Amino acid sequence: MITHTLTSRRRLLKSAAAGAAVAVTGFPAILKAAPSQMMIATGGGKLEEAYAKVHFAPYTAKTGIKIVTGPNTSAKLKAMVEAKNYEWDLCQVAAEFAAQAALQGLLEPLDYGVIDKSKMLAGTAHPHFIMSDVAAYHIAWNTKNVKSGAPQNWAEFWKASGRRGLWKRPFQTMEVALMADGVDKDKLYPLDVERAFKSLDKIKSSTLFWNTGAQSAQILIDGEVEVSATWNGRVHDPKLGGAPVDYHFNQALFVSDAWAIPKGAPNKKEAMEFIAMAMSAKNQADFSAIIPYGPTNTAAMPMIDAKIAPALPSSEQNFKKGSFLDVNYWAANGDKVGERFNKWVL
Amino acid sequence: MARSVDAARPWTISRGHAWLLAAPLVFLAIFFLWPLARVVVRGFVDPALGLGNYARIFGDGPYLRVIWNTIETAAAVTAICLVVAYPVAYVMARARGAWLQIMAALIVIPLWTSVVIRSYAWMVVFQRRGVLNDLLLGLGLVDTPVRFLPGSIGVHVGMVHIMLPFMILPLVANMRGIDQTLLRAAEILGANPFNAFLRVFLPLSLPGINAGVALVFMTSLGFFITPALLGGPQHMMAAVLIEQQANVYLNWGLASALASTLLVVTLAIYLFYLRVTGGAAGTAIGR
Repeated sequence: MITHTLTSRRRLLKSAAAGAAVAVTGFPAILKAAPSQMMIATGGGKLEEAYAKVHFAPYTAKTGIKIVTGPNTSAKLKAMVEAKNYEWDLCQVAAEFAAQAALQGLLEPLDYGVIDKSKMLAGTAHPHFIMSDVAAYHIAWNTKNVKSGAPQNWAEFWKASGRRGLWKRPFQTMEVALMADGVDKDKLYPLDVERAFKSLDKIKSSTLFWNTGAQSAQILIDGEVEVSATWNGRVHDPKLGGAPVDYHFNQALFVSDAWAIPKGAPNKKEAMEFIAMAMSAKNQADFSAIIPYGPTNTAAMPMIDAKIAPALPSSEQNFKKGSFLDVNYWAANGDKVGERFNKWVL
Repeated sequence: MARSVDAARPWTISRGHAWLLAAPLVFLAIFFLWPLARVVVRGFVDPALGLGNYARIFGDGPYLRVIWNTIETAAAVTAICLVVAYPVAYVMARARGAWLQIMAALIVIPLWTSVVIRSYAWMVVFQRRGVLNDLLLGLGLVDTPVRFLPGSIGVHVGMVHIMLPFMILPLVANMRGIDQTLLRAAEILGANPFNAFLRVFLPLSLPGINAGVALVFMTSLGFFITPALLGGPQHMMAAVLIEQQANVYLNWGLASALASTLLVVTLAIYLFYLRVTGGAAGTAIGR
């Protein structure tokens, strides 16, 4: 069904963009011989700074190919692939988005002859994208508001007095609601949607639904809530800097960024080589030394400073405490569950 | 309302100059009408030919509720803008010299700052440890910080702040064109100032009101950043929902259908408004 809609869409577009398409298809063919630069779409910010240091600089030193970056706007990927007019050579996106894009046929299959997946954590190397890090959506609390007895699991988080914060999106929030209701962290999928909403009903009136990761950290640090779910990258630095916030990885939900290549992008070969290098143990270890997201390549773990490991979600002591978000579940069901969630939250 | 023939037909294009419109019309056709047509078509063909997307919108999902939220918020913002802007415009229309320049500057300068930054500024004002709460706590008016965010107060205040110039400017333009001797005539004929305002000035300022209301209401319907940043989930507006469908779920068919629905609703409200005001909303903007 998906392939069918894509072909009909393509036919539509063909007549639509005929003039433009002729003009652009000539270009990549000329550049293909030797790209002097590659365009990588990223989410910007601290992650991109880390990529620049750990991946871009060594890649350019090795190949002479310059790296330029731009924002990884989701809709742009779809528009580019539909119009066959490529701006990106590869992209870093949220893994759940990559799964969605893969399902819609927007991504190039990865060449696992070039990219080594033998040491990857189970479930992180997908046909069309590869997860590059492990972050955690977990319990955090304001240490001034919660002096003792911080919630040890989501059930306690649900019972905590005062206000709590959760993400205004169904991803991750639904999983957390199920764990709060007693579902085992390893038996979350397929999600029992009705049960999750019943669980969320219990706390709706005392929950502040935040929009962005930055907001989740801010309400925690300002004490606007007692407890909140957030991502470890958001509270790691504030905690070290002395902000009144603490967290743990019990029943954490692991989420990832992923590398992917737009379907039909012209510099596929170079993009695969870039991903292979970025996924190497050394690059992964270097990345985790800057950003508190753990590696997905298990060979990187022994190369990581023992002082850093306790802060990384995929380190030996933390990984067993949580479970991975099932990106394929969300790719297939996100739209419908999202609709229910929007209705519930209104 | 008495309207001269000239006022109803303020300007017509002479045939000799019609070609001047060619360039902007071609531009609009390529960069506005064509993409718009594609959006409308997409709502009917993606993911499958038919009315599936519209069935979802008009089904029991959250969509109608969000569209209604959007209309309600836009209407409230427009009403508040009008009430706040009218006296300001009234004073400004009578001001001369330096005062006029200062007032104009105070109204126009905020337009130079992006909507994103102004919305963030309101977050700083409204947050728990923000300026407003500090003030309220300091004055002893409240014991614990008031929770303004996320919420409808933030959305309304933020949107009114951003839209206010678009209400003030057409009002001023209109009021400056009102012949002051008419007011003097009314008073000479025995009207007190209140009556002179109500029965002479107010009706004459209706084209300005109509222009401002149309501009603010329709722009408000499409607001994205301010409700996304300051609003809670229950204040979701249509643009936020459309962005979610387009960007998060890559569900362009539904996003297109939602955008088309919003467009039709906007046009319907505008046409209704034109009828009620006898076309004044359309003609007044040009003055």
